[in-house]
Amino acid sequence: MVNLRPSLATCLILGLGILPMIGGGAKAADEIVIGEIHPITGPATFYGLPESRGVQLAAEHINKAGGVKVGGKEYQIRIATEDDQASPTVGVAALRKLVSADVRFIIGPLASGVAPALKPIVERNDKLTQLIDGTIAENMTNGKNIFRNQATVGGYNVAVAELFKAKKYPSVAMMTDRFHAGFMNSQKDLAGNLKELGVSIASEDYYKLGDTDFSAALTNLRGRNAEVLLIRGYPAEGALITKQARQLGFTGQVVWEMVSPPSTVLKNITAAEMEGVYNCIPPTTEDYVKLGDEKAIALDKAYRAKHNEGPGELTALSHDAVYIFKAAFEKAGSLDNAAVNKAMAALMVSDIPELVTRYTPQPDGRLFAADGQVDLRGEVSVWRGEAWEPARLTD
Amino acid sequence: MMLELLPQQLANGLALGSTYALVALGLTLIFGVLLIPNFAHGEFYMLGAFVTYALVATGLNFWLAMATAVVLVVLIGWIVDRVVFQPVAAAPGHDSGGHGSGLSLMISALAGSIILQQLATIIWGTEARTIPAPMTGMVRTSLFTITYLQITIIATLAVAWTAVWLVLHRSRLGLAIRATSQNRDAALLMGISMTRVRLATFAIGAALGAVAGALLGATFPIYPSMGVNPVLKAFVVLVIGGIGSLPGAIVGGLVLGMVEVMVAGYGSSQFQDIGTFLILVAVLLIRPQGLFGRAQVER
Amino acid sequence: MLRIDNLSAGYDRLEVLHAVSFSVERDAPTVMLGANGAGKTTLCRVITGLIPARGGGIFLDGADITRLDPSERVKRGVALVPEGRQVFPDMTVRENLRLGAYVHGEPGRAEFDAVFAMFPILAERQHQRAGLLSGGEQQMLALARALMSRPRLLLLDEPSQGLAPKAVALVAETVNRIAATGVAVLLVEQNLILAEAVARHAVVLETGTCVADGPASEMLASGAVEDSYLGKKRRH
Repeated sequence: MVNLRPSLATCLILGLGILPMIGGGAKAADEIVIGEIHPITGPATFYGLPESRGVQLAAEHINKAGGVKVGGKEYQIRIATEDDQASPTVGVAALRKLVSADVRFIIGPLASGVAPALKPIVERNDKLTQLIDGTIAENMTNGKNIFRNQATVGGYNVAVAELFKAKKYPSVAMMTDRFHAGFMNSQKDLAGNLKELGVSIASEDYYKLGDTDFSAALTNLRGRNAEVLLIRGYPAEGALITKQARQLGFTGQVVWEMVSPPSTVLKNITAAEMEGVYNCIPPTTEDYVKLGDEKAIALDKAYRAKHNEGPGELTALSHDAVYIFKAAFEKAGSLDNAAVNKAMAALMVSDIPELVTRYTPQPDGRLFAADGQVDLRGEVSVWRGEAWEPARLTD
Repeated sequence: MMLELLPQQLANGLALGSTYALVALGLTLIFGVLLIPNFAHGEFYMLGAFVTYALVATGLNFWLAMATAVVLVVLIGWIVDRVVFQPVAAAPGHDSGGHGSGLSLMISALAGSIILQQLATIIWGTEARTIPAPMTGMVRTSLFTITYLQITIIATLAVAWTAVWLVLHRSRLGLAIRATSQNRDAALLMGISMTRVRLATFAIGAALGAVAGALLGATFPIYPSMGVNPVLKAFVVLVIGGIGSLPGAIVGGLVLGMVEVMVAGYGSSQFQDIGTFLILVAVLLIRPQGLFGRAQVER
Repeated sequence: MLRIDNLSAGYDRLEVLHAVSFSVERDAPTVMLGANGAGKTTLCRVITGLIPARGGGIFLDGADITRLDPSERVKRGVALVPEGRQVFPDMTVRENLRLGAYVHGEPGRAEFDAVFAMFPILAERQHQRAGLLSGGEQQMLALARALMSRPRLLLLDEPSQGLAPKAVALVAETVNRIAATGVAVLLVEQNLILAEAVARHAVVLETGTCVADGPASEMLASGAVEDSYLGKKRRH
């Protein structure tokens, strides 16, 4: 008997929770709801929270400037936030929740583990349009109702090749997170590209997320005369590997291939030990700010004003995602998913002047290739002092 | 060429193995004396790290912070025993002596482990943090380099082992603990108070876990689930070394560290984990009671 | 000295002892006879507090000890030489003896000397691991260890088990010497030779119930004992 009481309470709480949602549904006439799925809590918070905030900022900005004009009518954007904790099961639950609340436009997810779990659900639902602003794993988009405005790992590798070409490094030792699908699947191609540049591959070692001791593999570097240690994975391990390589006497160049917030990096290694490390990823929000980009500076300012700290590496991507949706709605002249999908596929880079991220247009000027993937290329940045900055490779 | 690197790989193995042994020491004690597969040992380790972190953040000296963390984690250890393990031992279906069955103890240990992780998540969040290292720098010789922190961990292991050995072999309480671990019923018949033995065993075990957590937390990032993998490794160490054997925990830890480093160094880093399981299987086949284990005494 | 009054006990859902009553007097060493499974070992475990009583009472010199902790009972003088000896195998003989005296603190030289006088073999082996002793030597150690706790009531659970006849005789002699010092003795035994050599009083336990109680000489001669062993076996 006693057991009934908690379940009754649960019903009440659920009921109270649903009420405002029904109210929200009634208001939907002049409102477009965009769902966003990001890791607000959990191990990837440092990526996910600044993304979620970027989405919110863009929506507020658009609403203040008059909203979205579709078919002669003005709509306000409302963001429905869901936390996936970077976990596939939580992510799927989050998507189902959004779908059941009749949300038809999705931004996210971030994590390489979540995106493949959502893909089959989104693909089968013609009342959904998804724009991924995270994972770099290949083959996550379909160009029909799934698009991505983040780079693929192939885009990262472009920058690695550029760096090796410019610096004429003779040899490289690679250490790769063996559970990162994106890096693992592109390992062979990257090694092939580097070999074509005349780089000898001294070793290819693997580790996994959460490893803390890399001494055995790093000790072997000493005998292999590798000029460069290339680390492909996540920043916590990247920092530990860099630190332990230095402790074990590696004096060559360290190159990273990972989005790495300085705050996360500095938890695992001192700034002095990071000095001069190269990173090969598409420019981050902060990079654009350092390059003097006005739109990036405005975003940075708005973000700091609201959250009292700087934006995250991926904030610009999430911010751009909202503007891409806005452009697609307006181009479609309808909120019907089929029309929005078509308009999204046809968007030109020049249609969206608000984009912070500098995408390379497709040959015909469109933003997305036929498979729904943008062309976003990695660039080389270098650690100076306490943070990354764009590197000039010519000197 | 690879042979030149052997001294460094041995140093790597020693450093890694010491961390395994330090975690395994407390686990083997509680397992050996009270027959509790204490998965929550990983959380003693985690809490040792987090309490040290929190106190260092207030400006306290690292070593004082670690000492305070040890005291706090011992208190938590007692609470865990009282709340998680004793009710299982006292539940119907077990004799009055207070042996829970292995399975129910293991399940309640897992539950305790999860609850402590959740508590830590509520207090500190899931974001990884770092304890500022109490020392930096390293010894560089022509043969190998080793950091001061690694030397400290190896020295701590030696000190911890000596201290536990002295308690067990030079005190009346230690005599009672050893008696309990060899034959619990006979120990009761000697008039040994199980309450005192439990308190003492959990205190020593939790303290060892906390010390390991504080020291390793100064090397690696800390987060609420940081104890899960070390405790699994520690169980492997126990099987290798012999459950309940302190020298077994030390030697087992060092053997495991060495094997992992040698497999990764002279084989492939992809096989590091496979090395762990190969040695586990080898021990189970050749010496199932572990390197230092004796065939189980009739209880 | 020891009075068992309507005592019931068991494990889980299984009740092993059903309202058992008998007494042990200081001047009348008592043997408890019964087939395997009659509940003899359970009785020893209840009296020492290793398992709880479900009903009835245990009285030592009139004081109710039914609910006391094992350690409290040891302090009051209850000592058990358990079935299978249960020495601490990885400890030295001397450490085993120290544990026997545990409730009284660290034993002095006089206490060791007294025990070594009774068991010279243990003096020789005092620094050896107990697990390395022969069965007979381990039995001596278990007895000596019990004596270290200065018992007023000594329970012996099958002390002859697995021993050669010569060793059994030595056990009998030793128990008689202990009884002569005023210690009450309850011997749980299947070996009638040892029972005859030690006991003046006998109790027969059959499937958890006391079925006979009387002077040992009469009981051992009467055939009541044989019934409880052999008769029972035949019925099954």
